[in-house]
Amino acid sequence: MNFNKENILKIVCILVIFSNLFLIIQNYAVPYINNYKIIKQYQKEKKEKTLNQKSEDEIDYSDTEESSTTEQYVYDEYNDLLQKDELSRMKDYVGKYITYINEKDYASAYNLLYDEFKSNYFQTLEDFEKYAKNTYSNDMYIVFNDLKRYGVYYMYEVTIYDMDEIGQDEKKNVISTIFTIKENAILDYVLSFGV
Amino acid sequence: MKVRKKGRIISWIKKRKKIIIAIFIIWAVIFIINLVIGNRKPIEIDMPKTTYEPNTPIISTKNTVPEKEQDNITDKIDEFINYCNNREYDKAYSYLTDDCKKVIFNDEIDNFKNYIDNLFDEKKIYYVQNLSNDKNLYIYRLRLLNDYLAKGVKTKSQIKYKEQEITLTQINDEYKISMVNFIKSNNLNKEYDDSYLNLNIKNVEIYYDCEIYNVTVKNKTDKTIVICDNLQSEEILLDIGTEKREVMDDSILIGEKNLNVVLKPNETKDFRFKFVKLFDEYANSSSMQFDKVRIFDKYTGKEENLEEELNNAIDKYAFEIKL
Repeated sequence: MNFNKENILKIVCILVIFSNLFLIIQNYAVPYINNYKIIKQYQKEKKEKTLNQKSEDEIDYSDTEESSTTEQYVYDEYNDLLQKDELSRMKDYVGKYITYINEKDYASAYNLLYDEFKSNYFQTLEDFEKYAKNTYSNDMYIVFNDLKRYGVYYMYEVTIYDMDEIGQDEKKNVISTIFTIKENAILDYVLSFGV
Repeated sequence: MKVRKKGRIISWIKKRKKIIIAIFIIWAVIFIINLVIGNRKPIEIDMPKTTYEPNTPIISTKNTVPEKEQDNITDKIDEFINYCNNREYDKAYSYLTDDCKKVIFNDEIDNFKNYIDNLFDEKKIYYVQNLSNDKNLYIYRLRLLNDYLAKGVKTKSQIKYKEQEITLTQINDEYKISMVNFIKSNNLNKEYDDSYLNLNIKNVEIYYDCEIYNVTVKNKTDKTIVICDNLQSEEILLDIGTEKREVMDDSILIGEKNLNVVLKPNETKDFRFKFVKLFDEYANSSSMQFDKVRIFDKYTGKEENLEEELNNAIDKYAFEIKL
């Protein structure tokens, strides 16, 4: 190519056009890219937290297919929660805690707890696991009674029942408590409860 | 040589006139598009749906908190609460308006420390709600709760909060805080003088739910002057235009009860006259009326003697002070 003034001018012109087009496209695409990055980051941190809690013998290296399924699940869960009002979201968050306990996934349940709450009552995962095994029945279901909002803090009054006692007149394993939840963003929340 | 060079440049430009114009037009279009996009609001990150709108006034929507100020205001409140929680008294005290320091804490930081120690008996979480606004003045309801997120809570009866109105005032591009329901004070120096007495309304302290007037009364006679003794009604009134409000018995902070404006011969006394008046009534207090001023030779202050003493009063009259 002959680098005379005319060709240089053409090259500069083409560069200017393409760089501006790139900026325009980026301006529209970046928010969507960032949202997706947040979801991936959340999923990665969640996995790291869970891995840190488990012993070396229990480390589970998920294969890539399972990872992508989990990512999709998180993405779907994110979008699902985005459409819900705060009452439904708080139910989901508390419900998730109960689900983890029912599944004996104490590490995941522990990760949902507020750090200072953990420091006050369950300094280690073992402490929490001991508490959960002593307090909760093997299979629970939860009844949501009353939600009150105090600014960014939500307090959900609940009653937790033992599934094995369904239909019985006298229920022995009943826990009445209040879950306090603070939501920073969708899927970014911490909670505590009456001990 | 210079002329030739100049001629060559002009000739070069003339030959490529169309290309240069085309490039300029394309550049201008792209520049304008960038300008338009640059001025657009950025697409917001997805925020969870919530009913919590701390900066939306719930009492009076006459004035709103400007959007560009909302973050400044809530950040200021957050910093103040953090200082109080961490017992950084000096920093928290510096966030108060001079008026608030003087009126509520008597310009004594020790008073402020004691108040904060009492209010923040343990670590608190909080939330605020805008009530009403006026020019550069923004009134919020502050609720302080124990840190239930850290402590956990089992029953509703355990959930308690302390509440007060705080006001953020913009002073020299900075926000300062007034607390304990206090908003601001105004100097008045409105005086009434006659042969019996001299009454001076020195200033007014404006709170969210009341106004308190600091008044000095001087008895210029050797008789007893009664302006208010609660044996009759409507003795001292505040005219707010739409209605007249009666003076209240109690006085906040000082802890006085049963306001008695009775002066012995040649006595001078200070009083605090409190009237119910909500800040967001947006009504101006136009005058204060003293409708039952009585001058006595003998005065017992007992209800059973009321009629007899009134009949024997040296003088009975009323007067008004414009505010």
